[in-house]
Amino acid sequence: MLTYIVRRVLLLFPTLLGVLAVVFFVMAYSPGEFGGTVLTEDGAQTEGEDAKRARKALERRYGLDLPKAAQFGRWLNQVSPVGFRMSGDLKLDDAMRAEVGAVLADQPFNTRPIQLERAVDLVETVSAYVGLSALDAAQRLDAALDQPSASQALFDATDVSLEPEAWEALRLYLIELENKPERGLQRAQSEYIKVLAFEVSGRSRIRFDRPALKVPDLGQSLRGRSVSELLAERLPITILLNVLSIPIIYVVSIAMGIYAARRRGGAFDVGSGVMTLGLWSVPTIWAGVLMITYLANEQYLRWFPTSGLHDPQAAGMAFLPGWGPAGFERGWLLDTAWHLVLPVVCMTYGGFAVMSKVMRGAMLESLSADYVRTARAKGLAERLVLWRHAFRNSLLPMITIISGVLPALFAGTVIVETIFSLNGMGKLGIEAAFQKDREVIMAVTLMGGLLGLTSELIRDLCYAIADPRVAYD
Amino acid sequence: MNQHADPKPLLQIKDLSVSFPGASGRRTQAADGVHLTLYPRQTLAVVGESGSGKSVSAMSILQLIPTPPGRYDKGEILWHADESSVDLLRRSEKQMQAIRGNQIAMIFQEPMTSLNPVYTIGQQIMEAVLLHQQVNQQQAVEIATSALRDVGIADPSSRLKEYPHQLSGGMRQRVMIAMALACQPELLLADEPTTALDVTIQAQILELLRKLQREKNMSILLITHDLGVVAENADVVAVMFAGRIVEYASVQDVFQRPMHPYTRGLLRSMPVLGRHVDRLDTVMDGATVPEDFPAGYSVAPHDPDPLRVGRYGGPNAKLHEVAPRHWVLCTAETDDAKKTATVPELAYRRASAIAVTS
Amino acid sequence: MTEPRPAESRGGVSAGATPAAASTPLRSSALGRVGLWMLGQWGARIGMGWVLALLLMAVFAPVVASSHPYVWKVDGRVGSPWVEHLTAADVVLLGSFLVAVVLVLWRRASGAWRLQAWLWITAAITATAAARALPVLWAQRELGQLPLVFLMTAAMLLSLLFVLVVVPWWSSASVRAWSGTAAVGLVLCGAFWAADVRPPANIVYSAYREATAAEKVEWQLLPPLAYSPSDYQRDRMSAEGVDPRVLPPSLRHPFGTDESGADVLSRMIHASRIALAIGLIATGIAVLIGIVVGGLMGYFAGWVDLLGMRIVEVFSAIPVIFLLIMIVAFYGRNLYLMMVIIGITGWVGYATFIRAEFLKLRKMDFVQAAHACGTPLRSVLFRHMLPNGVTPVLVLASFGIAQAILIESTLSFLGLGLVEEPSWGQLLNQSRSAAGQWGLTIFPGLAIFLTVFAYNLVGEALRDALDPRVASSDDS
Repeated sequence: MLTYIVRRVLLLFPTLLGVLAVVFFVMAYSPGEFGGTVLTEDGAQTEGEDAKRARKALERRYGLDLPKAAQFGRWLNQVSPVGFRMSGDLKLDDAMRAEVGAVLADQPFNTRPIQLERAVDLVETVSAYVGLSALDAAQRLDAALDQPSASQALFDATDVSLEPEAWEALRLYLIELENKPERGLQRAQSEYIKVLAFEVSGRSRIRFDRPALKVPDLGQSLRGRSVSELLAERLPITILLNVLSIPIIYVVSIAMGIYAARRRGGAFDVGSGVMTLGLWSVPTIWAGVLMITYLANEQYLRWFPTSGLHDPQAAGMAFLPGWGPAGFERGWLLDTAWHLVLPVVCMTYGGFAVMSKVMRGAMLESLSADYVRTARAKGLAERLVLWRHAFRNSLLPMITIISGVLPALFAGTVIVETIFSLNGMGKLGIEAAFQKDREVIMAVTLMGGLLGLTSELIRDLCYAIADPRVAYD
Repeated sequence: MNQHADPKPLLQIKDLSVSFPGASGRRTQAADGVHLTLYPRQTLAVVGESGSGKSVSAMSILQLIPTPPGRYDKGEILWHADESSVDLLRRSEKQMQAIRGNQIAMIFQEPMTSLNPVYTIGQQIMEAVLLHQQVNQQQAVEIATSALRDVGIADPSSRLKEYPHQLSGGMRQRVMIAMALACQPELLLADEPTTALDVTIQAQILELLRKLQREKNMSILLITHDLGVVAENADVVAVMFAGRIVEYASVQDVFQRPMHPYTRGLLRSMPVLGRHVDRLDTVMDGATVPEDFPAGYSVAPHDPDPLRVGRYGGPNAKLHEVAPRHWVLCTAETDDAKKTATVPELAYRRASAIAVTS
Repeated sequence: MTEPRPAESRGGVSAGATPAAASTPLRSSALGRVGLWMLGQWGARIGMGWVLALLLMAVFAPVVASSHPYVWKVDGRVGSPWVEHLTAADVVLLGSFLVAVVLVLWRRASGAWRLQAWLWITAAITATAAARALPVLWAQRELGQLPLVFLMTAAMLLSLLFVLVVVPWWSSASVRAWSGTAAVGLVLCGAFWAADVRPPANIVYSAYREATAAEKVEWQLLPPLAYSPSDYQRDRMSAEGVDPRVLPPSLRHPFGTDESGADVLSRMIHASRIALAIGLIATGIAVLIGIVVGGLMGYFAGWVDLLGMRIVEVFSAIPVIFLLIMIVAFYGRNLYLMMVIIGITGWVGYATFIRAEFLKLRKMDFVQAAHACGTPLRSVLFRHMLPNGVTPVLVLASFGIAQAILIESTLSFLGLGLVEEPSWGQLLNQSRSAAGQWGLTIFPGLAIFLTVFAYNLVGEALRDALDPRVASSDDS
């Protein structure tokens, strides 16, 4: 059993690799430009020189100047927990940072500590890519900054010939450091440091020394946010939706399937069959629109909220509902539940058709099976025959189907999250697709693929537990 | 050699009719006025081709026919057929559950599918034991172990933990028998117990059944279409066709003096070792309902006093005792013959069976 | 058991039935029985009825809803703006439909002959219509995308043909008939693709209303719904002082107007073309790929199967809707591309099904016997194995069509559909920002629902028909 699991997990990786490769190369060979809409921090479209520079920065950040296969390799290396270190990974420890800071302390930008930090970052980057020791680099930078020309200063500091644009970027960065101490610029500054990093390192961004354990990095989104951070923010909402929907679908379908099978051909059997088929055919988008328009909109019934996961005031609420000074207060938990009603209904109603049909078919088959007749001949009460013998065997197809249910639910969340403005992973994926944000799309694909493959694994394991006939070696 | 063992029959099926909905709205009569009487320690074989109503009659005893679509039209089934006995067909589901598997057990044709694949055989045997006997888990395990040992399974205690798919067909049928016998039933309904098995395994299983019958003083209602099995195992034979019993007699009478044309056809269609024929006889070409049988008279050549009877089928045909303790389905034409229309009942047991018991 | 009657439903079956019955008696009778059984099911009847209604709507869309008067007399001259403004696609659809009706009613020719005749005449109509569009195409000179577009169109039409003609026909069609059909299909592809290139639409619909208002028109015969799908009624603001956008349903606009002022009913009628085409062609492509890949996997087993199963796993692990959204976002909004993509991502189910069937079939005696007789591999695969394994694919295919329609409307809803062309999903999307126009909320969604439901009903009835347990209880 254990060897089976291990083998199954190992077999999972080639498939996952295939999934990622398909998605990656579909993007890589698309005629549209990667990151077609490059946005600045404010969300405005960049223009002219700025756009050119930003473009260059993206190329460097994502390694777009590499051949396409190498880009994929680079991405894999970045994501994998074991791999070659990328140049950006070389970090200075705290003591070293303090020393470097001391060297640079007399420079004009030291008035605000945070900017000193940035300068230390620059030293860190330079030392990482050029191969100077950190202190060496700091001293050279310090000396160079005393000179009137900033670009000359850096040239002296790094001793490396840079492309003119990089020089320009660096010069602008330094001027920014000196002249614009607003906090809002800090993110942009760190961006420029990364641009620099790529400029300095040229094409050899992966250091093929020794593969080592490292922190998997999902990269950065086009807007510069860390993708893992984004996922950590969005994944729980998607998981919450799924965790609520799966039991509902299963319980309702199983109940309906059993009831229909026991009274085969009866009113409930026919009625539930037609009804679930009808529900299955209702497009989620329509159901969502109808619910929002008629159940949540102010013009009609206003039973439910139209969007979001919480009320704006939810953060200040007590966790549980209770009686406050203003009468009944619903509290955080009830508020969330109230917001989740419509999305969960939207995700579940379509699943009943397939599942209850499978359950009904399986139940009919096991009810007419020979072993059920044996159980009856043994003198078992009908209730026991049904639950102990027929039901137990009917669950096997329901296990088989779970590997189809989970990916379908994921697809459902994409739509439901968009309609109800829930900031989950599905919505993240759509937004990323619209922005052609490669790293985010890859991360969402990775999550989706992992979900699909683990659901297959779960199915096989459940099956192995439930059906003794299946032998795994 | 011909003894009346016990005066009191164990089970009596009287005029049982069961029907199912047919294609064109009419109901198909699966069993049509079936009479069977079974005495303690007797083996009654019901012979007939597929769809002749053998299994339906046996399943009716335990009320295992799903209703609907099936329906018990008339008749009664008396268990311990004395004054106090109650019609099994009139009993409630709850009362039937106390009888099923406890007093009357049943084994089926398909050992491959008759065991639930997701439970161990131990669980399945003990399920019945725990249901019908006042025992705890430990005692149930012991009963199941000894039941498995009884049916000739080696190393029974470890076999208990195995799943049905780990056993061969013959072994599974043994498990089925063990399961049926674990509660010491008085009557075993064996519905084609050997049909799905290899010939050598068949012989073993039948031998096992005979042995267990002697040891446990059971009656067996043996349903089969294999005349060889009948000849070796049965005391009394009921030949069924299209839901009706066409001939009812002791095994010797049926094999040596078959009277109904269907029985004769059945016997003729059996290939005989050493005799070469180009084409085996078929049973009554084209006859699908008793009405199709030719009109004629019982002219069994060996019968010293042939009884004048009418057609061997038809709606008015009844079982007539046309020879001593030999019933045949026919219509009676003379008053004399009408008197012989009786419910068949034969407490005959083979000498061999008696000899071992006593 | 009743004697199985030969199928009468589709053109070619009855014609070629005699030789076919000899080689594979099982299948032709099975298909015929399934067809008859289906007609007896109310669910299937309702489903097929709605699809037929949709088909008629798609064909006659310009007849029913158009701003162009059929005939009018203006400035003393009688003219037909309606005819002048028919697009190549309109001409081809109307023409081939009318030809089909005539051929169906003309029962004296054999089915195969009629089918061939229909294909050739349609090809001729298409080529004529295309000829009109060729100068425009040449003027546009967007030749960079030519091969890609051509290949995609070819793939789509071939698979449409495959589903409609070849699969039900396989056992009866002679090789010559098949190759003739393929040739015509290819001609059709090229012509169809060329025909779709249309001159830039600079039709001024308001001219008709202005002419009427100025009393220049002596008389005119208008279509029942006098609004074209892209008639945005920009003149109404100045002429009547009414903002034509998001008007609720009224007598003039039974389903109201959309955000740009176009009539919703008219757009919905014209959108039925997209819905039908997407469903059939995308599913056709998926079935084609599925049968080829699954057949190869099942027949050769071994390492081919191993490799194939990995590919299948990869494709079934990608959430299809997400992949589609991504591809559309990266490759642009193109109807044909969307069909091809839905097809490419949807083949997995068919492939695994056919594979399982073939794995079972290749062990069977009649396939072994065909081998033993020295039958070539092609023949074993397509003449002996495929007909026996392919019928249940029809069930999957009808559910697949429903799914494809759902996917298209979802993509349009998310804003990834076509921009100019009307689509149900796109209309439904508009309802999100136009809460007062209940016509937009109800009707486009209802149309998607009914169509999907119809195909699901047909699929369900097909499945029941093919289920041996149901079928046998029906027969005996």
